Amino acid sequence: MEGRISADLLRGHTDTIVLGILLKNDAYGYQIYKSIMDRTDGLYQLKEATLYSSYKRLEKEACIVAYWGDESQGGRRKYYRITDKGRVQYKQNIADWEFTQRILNRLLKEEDD
Amino acid sequence: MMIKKYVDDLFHGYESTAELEDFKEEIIINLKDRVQDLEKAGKSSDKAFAEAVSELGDITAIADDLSREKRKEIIGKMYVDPKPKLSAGYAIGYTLAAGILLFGIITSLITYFSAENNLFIAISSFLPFVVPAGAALTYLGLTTETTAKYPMNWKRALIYALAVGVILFGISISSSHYFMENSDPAAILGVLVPFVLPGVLVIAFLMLTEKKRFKPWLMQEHERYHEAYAGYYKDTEEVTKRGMLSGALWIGAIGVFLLIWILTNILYALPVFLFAIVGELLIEYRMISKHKRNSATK
Repeated sequence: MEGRISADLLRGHTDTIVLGILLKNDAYGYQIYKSIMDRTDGLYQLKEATLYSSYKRLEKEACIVAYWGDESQGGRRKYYRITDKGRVQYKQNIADWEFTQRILNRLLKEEDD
Repeated sequence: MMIKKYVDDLFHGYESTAELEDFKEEIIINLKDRVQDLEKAGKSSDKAFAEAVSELGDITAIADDLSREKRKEIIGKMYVDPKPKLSAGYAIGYTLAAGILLFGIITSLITYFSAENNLFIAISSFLPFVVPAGAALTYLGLTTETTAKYPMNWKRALIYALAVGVILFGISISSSHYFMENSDPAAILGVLVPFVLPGVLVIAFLMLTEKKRFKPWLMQEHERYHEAYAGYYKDTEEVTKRGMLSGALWIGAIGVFLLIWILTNILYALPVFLFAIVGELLIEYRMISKHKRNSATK
C-alpha cells in the first residue's frame, strides 16, 4: 500500500524544515519555498502562508533574523538568516523528532512484533 | 501590476502599518518570482498567476496578527460614525412636544395672572399640557439614537413614557390641590400616592432590568476606565446596581409609609422605615458576601 503524507504532521515541523534550509545559507521566501518543493518532488505542497507564519514565529523567537537584500533589478527580496539560537533550536528539534519517532514506531508497530 | 493589485486587495480592510507594508512587499516579490518561474516552465501568464496565487494559501491570519491592534481601532471608529441624523418624524415630534410644553407654561401664566393669582387654577390649566409633553419627550428621548447610545426598544420606551406621564399627572393634580383653599394634606397625599408610587416603581423596575445601549466604542472606553481604576472601584457596575436596589427600596418604603399614614395613623406607618433599614442592611450584606466570593474565585 502506498503511503500518503500527513499534512498535519508535516505542518508541525515547518519551523524545523525552515531552520534546516537556512543552516547552509541565507535565503529569501521563494527560495525556501522552492527548495521544499524540490526536496519533496512536488509530492507535498506546503502553502506559502504556512511558511510566512513560520518566519514570523521564528523571528519572534529570535531563531532567525530578516533583512532586505540589495538587488538592483526586479525589486528587493527579504532574506532570512539563522541565528545561534536557531541552530540550537534546530538541533533540539531534530533530537526531539528522533526520540518521538522511536517511541512512535514502538507504539504503532507493536502488533507486528 | 496584477500581483501588486491582488495583494493590495487581499489586505484591503487592514490598516496600514510598517510591518504590514513590509509583509506585502515580501509577498509581492515572492509571487513575482514564482510567476516568472512558472512562465519559464511554459505556462501562460494568466495560468501562472492563478497557480502562484493558489499556492499562497490563507494569508489573512498573519495579517490579522500584524495589524490586530490597528484594526481594533478602526472597528471602534467605524461605530463612532458622525452624529446620527434625526429623522423628520422625530424632529417634528420634539418640536411639537416642546411647543406644547411652552404653550402650557404661557397658558398657565396667563391664567395665573388673570385669575387673581390663583395657583390652583394655574396649575390645573398647566396639567393638560405638561402630561402629554413630558411623556412625549421621554419617549422621544429614549428612542433617539445618539453618538453614545443606541435607541431603546419602542415598547419599553412607551412604558417609561406612560409612567412619566402618570407621575407628572399625580404631581400636578396634587400640587394644584395643595393650593386649593381648605385643602387637606391627607387628601393631597391621597391623590399623589396612587399615581406617583406605581409610576416610580415601574420606572425603578425598568431601570433595574435595563440593558446596556452603549455603542461599542463607549464600551471599550468603559473597559479601559475599569482597567485603569480597577484598584479603586472593584466593580463599578456592582456599585451602580447596589445604588439602584436601595433607591428602589427607599422609594417603596416612603410610598408604603405615606399610604399607611393616610389610611390609618402615622404611628403605624413609622415601623416601615425599620423594615427599610433592615432591607438596606441585607442588600449591603449580600453585596459584601458576593464581593468576597468573587475575589475568592479570582
